[in-house]
Amino acid sequence: MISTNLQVDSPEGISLDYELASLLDRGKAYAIDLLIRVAAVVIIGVVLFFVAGVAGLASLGLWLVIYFAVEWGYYVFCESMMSGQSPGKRLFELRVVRVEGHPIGFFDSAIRNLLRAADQLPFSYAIGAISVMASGRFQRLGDLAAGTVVVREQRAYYGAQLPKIDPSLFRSDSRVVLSNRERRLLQEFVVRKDRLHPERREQLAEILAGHYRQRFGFDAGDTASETLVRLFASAARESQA
Amino acid sequence: MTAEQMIRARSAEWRELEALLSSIGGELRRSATNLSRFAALFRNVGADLALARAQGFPEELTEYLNSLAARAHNRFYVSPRQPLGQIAAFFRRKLPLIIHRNARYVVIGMLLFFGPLLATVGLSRSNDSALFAIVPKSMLSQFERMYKKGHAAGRPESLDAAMTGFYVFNNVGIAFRCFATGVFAGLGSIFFLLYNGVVLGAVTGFVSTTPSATNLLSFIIGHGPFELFAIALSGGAGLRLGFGMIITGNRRRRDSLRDAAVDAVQIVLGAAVLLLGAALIEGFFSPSSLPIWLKFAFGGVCVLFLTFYFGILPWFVARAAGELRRQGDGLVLGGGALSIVGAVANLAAYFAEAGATHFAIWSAVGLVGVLLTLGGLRRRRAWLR
Repeated sequence: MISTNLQVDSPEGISLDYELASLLDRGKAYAIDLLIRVAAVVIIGVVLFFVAGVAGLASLGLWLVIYFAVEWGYYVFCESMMSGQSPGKRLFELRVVRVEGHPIGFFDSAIRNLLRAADQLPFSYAIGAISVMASGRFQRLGDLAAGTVVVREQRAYYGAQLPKIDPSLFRSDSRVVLSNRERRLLQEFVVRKDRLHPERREQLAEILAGHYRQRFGFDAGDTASETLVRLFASAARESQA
Repeated sequence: MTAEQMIRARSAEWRELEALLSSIGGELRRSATNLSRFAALFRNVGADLALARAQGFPEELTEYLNSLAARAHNRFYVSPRQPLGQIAAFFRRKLPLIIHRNARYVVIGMLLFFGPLLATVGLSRSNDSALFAIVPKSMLSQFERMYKKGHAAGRPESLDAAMTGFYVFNNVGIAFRCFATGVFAGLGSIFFLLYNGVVLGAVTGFVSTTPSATNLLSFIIGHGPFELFAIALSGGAGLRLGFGMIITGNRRRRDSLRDAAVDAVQIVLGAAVLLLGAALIEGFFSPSSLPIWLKFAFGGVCVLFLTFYFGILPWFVARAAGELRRQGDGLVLGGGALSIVGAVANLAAYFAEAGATHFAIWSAVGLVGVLLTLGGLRRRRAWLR
């Protein structure tokens, strides 16, 4: 199964799930960073040539050195200073971390960014993109060599979508004790059921209900999705008690 | 506890943690009360997450807690700042140790670069048409015209500065690319080493057959040692990377690749420093009107320095660091020194237009040196591992 998550065990003993950044996310961040780099090189060039133009050719030399530093050093500098982020990555809430979940150090960043020279061959990061799609953790060659991954740090918000249960459903008297996985599966269904086409909803519910029917046995009169909602409500009441 | 109860009881702390997370990095780190509060909140949200998962609370809630804990984790564990003092330690101890560990790759890099270079230099005198088949004559003549004028008159400092900038931009870029493309099983590095060796050898060889020979030689002798060795070094680092991917020992491929990359990138940084030095020399010293003997003396000092830093120091540092002295170390050292002597003497004999006997003798010396080095590496049973 393709998983877009990276599981990391923190020193506090919490297991954290990171969502790996997709090619599109990384492309967007790259575009922003490219914009910043080009702007920096152009603006510094203009300043050097027109404001400090007296130095003549010497300013060309200085500009070439700066151009070089920006081309090869921008990411290493940003990622070392901003704990694995660059301005573009920060904007799209991405971060480079070690595969073990540690923050990256200077040499990690140097490896993954020097290898951009290999990833961007033969044009516009084609090899890097192939590597991202082929590797299990969406790593380009630089990431593979440095042992890093790019993760999404999206903020999630709670509260709004907790499923509201109609009290009339709380009528079954039998005790319903579900395992965590069973309860989570039910909950996923209940949260999503109104977004599904009725026919598709019943199809899916049929598949799911098979398992629960075997365990608890239900009235044959209900449709599969009604069965599942009632079961979820009973389980919710059970855990409230 | 139900999800609703948890949200009611704990959301104040979650909001507080979020506020701390969105503050600027320094702000969080500067204030001790903020920092200890942050640590406490981070631990608490970890406990909340564990509870929410165990109780099977709604996915929205666990997802939220997970993202909060993950963001706090990333802010809590930051990469250690590298104090500037470590730079000196890097060049005094760390880099020599890495060179010692990876000597075979440095040697292979040098062979792949200097071999074709010397071969094309030799070709340029014996067989012109073969040389022009490799590098077009028009390009070579262009170089010859470039060196016709000589440097007795010196040149303006602003041009020196501009050229230095160009050398940094161009040469360090070449070295980085030579390294990075090594990730393709070493093939990219091998290509860059051979290609640059052949072209540089052709240009040097061709111009040295013309009256501009002295001009060229006095120009390249100052920065040449650093520049050429640095290219070979970064190519060797690329080979380290590529072989790390192929020859994994008994480790997983990704672990092997990562170990290789950590060593390789530090070698490349050493090469980059050499190239920055070479760019300064090439920009300001090489084209200056200083006497030719001074330029040659300077080039000689550079060769001595390289031999000491990359050929001798690593072995002493490794022994001081308690690395076991391995059989064959002496052979590698002696053979390496001998092959350098052979190559340098050969070049000198060549430019001094000495007779064929000199060539034969010094070539034999160099060849013996290479063979001894290879034998030593075999002895160390460390040929490619």
